[in-house]
Amino acid sequence: MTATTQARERPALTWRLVDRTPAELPVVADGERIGPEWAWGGATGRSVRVCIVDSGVERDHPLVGPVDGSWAVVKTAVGGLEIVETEAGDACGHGTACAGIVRRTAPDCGLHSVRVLGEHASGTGEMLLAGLRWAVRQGFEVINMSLSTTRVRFVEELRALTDEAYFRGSVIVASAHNTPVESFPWRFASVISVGSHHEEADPEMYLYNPLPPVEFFAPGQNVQVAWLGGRTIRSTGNSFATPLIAGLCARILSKHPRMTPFQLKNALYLSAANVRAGTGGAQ
Amino acid sequence: MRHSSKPPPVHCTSCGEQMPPGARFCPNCGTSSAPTAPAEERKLVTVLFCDLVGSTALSEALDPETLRSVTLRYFAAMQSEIEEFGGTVEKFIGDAVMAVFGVPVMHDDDAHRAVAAALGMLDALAGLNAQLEPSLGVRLQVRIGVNTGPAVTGADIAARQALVSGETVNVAARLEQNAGEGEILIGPVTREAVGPAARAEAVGPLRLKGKQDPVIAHRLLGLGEDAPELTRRFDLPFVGREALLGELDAVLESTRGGARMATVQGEPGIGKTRLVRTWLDRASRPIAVGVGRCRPYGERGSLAPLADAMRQLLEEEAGAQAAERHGEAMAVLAGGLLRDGTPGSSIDATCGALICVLDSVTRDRVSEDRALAESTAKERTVVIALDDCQWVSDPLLDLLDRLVDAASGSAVLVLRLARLEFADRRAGRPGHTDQADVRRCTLTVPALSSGECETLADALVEVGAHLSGGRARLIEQSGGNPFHLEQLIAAIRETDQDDEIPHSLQALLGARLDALDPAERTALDLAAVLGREFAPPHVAALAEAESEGAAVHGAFAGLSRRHLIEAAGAPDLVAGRALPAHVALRFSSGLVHEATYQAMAKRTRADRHERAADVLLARDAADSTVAGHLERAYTYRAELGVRDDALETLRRRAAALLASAGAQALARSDLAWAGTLLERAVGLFAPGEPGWARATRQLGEVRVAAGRAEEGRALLRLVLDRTRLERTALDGSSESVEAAHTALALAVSEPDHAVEAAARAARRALPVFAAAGDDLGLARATVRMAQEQQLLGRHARAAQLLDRSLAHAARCDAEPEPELALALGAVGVSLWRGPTPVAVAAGRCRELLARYGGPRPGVRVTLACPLAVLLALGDDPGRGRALLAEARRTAGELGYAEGRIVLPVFAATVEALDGEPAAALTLLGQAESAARALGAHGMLGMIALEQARVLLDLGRGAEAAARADAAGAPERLLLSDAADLAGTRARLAAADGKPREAADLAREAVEAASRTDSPVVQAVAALDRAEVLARLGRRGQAAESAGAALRRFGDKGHLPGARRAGRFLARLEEGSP
Repeated sequence: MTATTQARERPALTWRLVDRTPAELPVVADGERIGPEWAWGGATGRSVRVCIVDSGVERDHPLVGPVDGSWAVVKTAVGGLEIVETEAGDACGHGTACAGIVRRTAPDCGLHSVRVLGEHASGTGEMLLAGLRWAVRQGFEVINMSLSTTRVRFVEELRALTDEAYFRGSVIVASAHNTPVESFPWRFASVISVGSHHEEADPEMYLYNPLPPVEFFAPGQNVQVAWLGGRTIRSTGNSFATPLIAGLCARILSKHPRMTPFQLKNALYLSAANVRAGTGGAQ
Repeated sequence: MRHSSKPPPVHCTSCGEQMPPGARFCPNCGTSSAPTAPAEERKLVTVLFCDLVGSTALSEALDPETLRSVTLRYFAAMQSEIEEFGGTVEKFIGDAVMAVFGVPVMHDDDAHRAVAAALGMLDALAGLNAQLEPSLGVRLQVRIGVNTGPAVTGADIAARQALVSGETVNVAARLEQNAGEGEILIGPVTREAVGPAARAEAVGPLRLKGKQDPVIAHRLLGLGEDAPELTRRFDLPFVGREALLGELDAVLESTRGGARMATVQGEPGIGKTRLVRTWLDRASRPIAVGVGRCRPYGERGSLAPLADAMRQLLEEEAGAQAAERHGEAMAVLAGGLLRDGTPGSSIDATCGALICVLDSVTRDRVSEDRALAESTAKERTVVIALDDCQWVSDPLLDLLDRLVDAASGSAVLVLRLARLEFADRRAGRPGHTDQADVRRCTLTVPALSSGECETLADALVEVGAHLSGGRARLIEQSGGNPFHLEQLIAAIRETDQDDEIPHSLQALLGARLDALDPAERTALDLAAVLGREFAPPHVAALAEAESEGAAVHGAFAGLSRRHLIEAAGAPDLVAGRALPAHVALRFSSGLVHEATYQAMAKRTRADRHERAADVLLARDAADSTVAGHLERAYTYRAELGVRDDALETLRRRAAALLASAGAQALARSDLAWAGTLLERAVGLFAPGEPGWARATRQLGEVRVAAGRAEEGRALLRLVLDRTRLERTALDGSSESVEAAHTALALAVSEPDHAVEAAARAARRALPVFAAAGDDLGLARATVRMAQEQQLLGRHARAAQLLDRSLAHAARCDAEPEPELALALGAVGVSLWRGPTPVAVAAGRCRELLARYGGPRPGVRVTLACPLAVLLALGDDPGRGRALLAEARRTAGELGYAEGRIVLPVFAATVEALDGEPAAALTLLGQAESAARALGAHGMLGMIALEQARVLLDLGRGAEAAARADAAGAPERLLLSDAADLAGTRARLAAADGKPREAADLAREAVEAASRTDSPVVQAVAALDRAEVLARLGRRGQAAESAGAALRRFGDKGHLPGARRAGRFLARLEEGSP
């Protein structure tokens, strides 16, 4: 097949898995016959640091537990941006929700937060770049980004940052937009992108999407999440599918600490509920 | 109940004393009772200062009489410019003029008007100088400052005194003083409001006298058109509106039958211009377009907007050809309309010439493009689109009507874009009410749906989180108005968190509000005090209290026609029709509500909130609603620096009602709402005053229940210290009821919560509650005593105590749900653990659920837990699981933190009974994490006990031993747990090859169990002993003990247990233990 016909036949972008069951997306893979038990069985995320780049994380939320570091991007007097340690919690609840899912999935991981969103769960591209750059340079093993920017003027700098993270060995798990619009950084191949499926029965079931750019689908419909004031609410969105994958990454890395980002993505791929390793591989 | 037909009590506006009904003067202080109309408003205004430079030199150079005449001419010229643009001259100070734009009524472009006026003033001065210089040899020079911002305005225009005041005025004056000769300095908000239309350069930051922060000002260089391209964003995706585009297509198609006129109406910012532009770009048949725009001020011919549109049409090549072909008609237009926007010789001639030219344009060759030329459309339609027709002149309005009626053979479409108030101008004109007129139609641009708003918000937000409905509040606030949404989103980017309405929207909405007639405005203001949603009778009652009753009565229809309010829940129901009185109404958007509310002076808001409290109290409104009004009235008056007895009374009323509403919410298990209300109550109470202790204690209880134990316990200790201090002061009086409640709550919330410690506290509190006849206290105390009996394995005794607890709860004023839930949950536990057979027990649980569950989610949760276990005991674990899953959801919504520990424990029990030990372990792990996170260390022992047993069954002895050690010292455990632990440790010892220790422990377990009346505890102990004996090779005794276990499981109807005992016996007989 030539490149041109491939381009022409490229299927429509898939953002969310709706009205289709895992059985309808069978993927036969080449590779080792590894699965969830090998990848993260018995692991709790111990000694792996996960950074939530979001709206902050509420202190002492029962579903989140201890937060090892809380930082925020703030404006300086001269109009620049800086990262400061903060006592303030969560501006809108969204970051706490993501942190709670990471904690549920990887109970013993270290949780860190850098706040780039304000109330109404929105922010500026400059703040996002500043917060992400800081997180990458801190060397967090896993970075959760349940957000994106639609502005193309930030694309080049974002791409450079995600590449930097990839080569430094920080895994960025980035949520796809909820509606079919182009936004970033989840569109980049250097990150692990996550959309949502609507199966509510198994909160840990995730799938590999044979039609990228969204690579994985995790539960994102009507998810019970931590919220402001120690509460829990039910909410929907790709935002909540992403931290499950981030939490699984933390568990995998706590069991296999020398894994690189590309090995990690491979482990996730081969452990997805709809992927069966075929016989054409090494074994 | 407070049913009452009496009018609400009236309080004196001056001293706050309650007045006798009908009194015209306050008997206390003599103030007239006639309500004064609200004299002050809060507005966004633009203030302009203009001062003469070098006036001393001028006065030296001129004769005083000449000087006076010159000054008067200067004042007149300045005033004329100010008034031309809709400003109000507030005063002349020496040689300076101060003017305000936005008083008495706001316009959405007040800042633009002020800046245009300032430039006009410089021009006018140049004109004046041109006269003065040759005759008197003097030149006047001025400097001007313009500043926009909030101000308090008085309504007394005639007096021209203190029309506006506030910092905005001071800054405008300082800007003027900082300006150079012939220079205009504008403030930062003015700069922002005028936007790209103005050319300006930054000056500063300036340190202005009397202002702490430096101000960035701008030097105004020039002003362009405030065209839509500059103020509205057309680069965003066009969302929705498919139906309207289709309707416009249909109108366009109908122009084949002659001229048509369509009016596209909607509130400001709803997207009229954008809609028409988008449609013109994708019109379904060939068109030629001319666009014009009406303006609210400025010297232009009355037909100027049409002239603009015609010029645009004729500029096209085809139009030029038409002009050549119709020299005569063109000459008529050139002599009037196209020259200066006037009819020229006559309206008739202009109309005729227009038709002639337009008709010619429609017949021009459409295009050189062959495909189009061959299309079926032989001619094209001329579209004349006139924007902002709410400002159209009467002559143009007439001309358009005549044009449409006369051009019956031409494909002409006149599109009038207008705000909703345009409908008033059209009353009585052709097509307004006459449905049969096929030549005219009106399309209303509705609000965007919330889905469409989300799409728009996604495009507007620079960086956004990926949760659905994350911007629901903004979208709700915007009321589906795209311009509102855009400005709101832009504002959060600017300020991060600021609830203030963006200036652009303050101006837009303020202008809409100021355009209302007084009765409508009063009705809307009063409604805004009541809330986003309101009942018309309440507004009427409030108006009556202000003697405005009759006036507001008919106002709602007009407000709904202007899309300011709508029927709650059914926005389409009314749209301009007369509103039935019983329908609840609401503001069409959160923004309209906020803008209306914020435009009232705080003093006015305070008075109206206090009156609203009285009106609602007389109509049986919820305590929390009434309390909210009193609280706001108090807060505003306190902010304004009022300090008097009336304010104190207000504070106490507000605090007491908030506390009572909080207690009611707590009694309904609504933790979140109870927490909010009680926190507000505690904030208003002075520590130690009546009501404080109870509200603070309840807030403490809410915090503990919600999982914020430390904060809650700190509050409880505060109350206990204070109440005990007071008791000591009173010397020897018995412990107060409040102290007893607090001490009990503290004992229960102890991190190492020990059931017997709670029971001890309960026994101490019991006589205090009994003496005071406090049924709630008695219900609480007895349930804690019952829980202790349960752990002692005395379920019969526990059941008696629980009956008493329920009886006390039933005698409380409003049946308190948390106490009911606690007692009923405990009843359920005794039904499970006690002697009642499973089938009967499950039936009883269901009965209790049916009787108490229903509207009480808390009760549904606490009863679901034991019922789920009973179902598993009766071999129906599936239904048990479903019940628990539902309970978990409900508990999460209620926010009771303990549910996160207890529910997984029950679920683990169900899993273990169903032979799923791995699942049970996972759930117990969750319970353990939750208990640690919540600091509920007292629960960890119980969880460890369960974990040890499951691990033992899985054959993971070492881990089981570790968990058994973590369960706590046996001597600290109550009987049931002690029996359980001894049995577990006996089996561990047996497996560990310690026969003597195992036998002793097994006997200890059975002995402890025998002192309980729980067949479950006894059966488990007996089976534990049987297993130990079998391992020690004492098969006969083992069989005997297993037989006892089998009988007890059998009596209870514990099927999984009976099977287990049966299997054990069978293996024993086979000889394989």
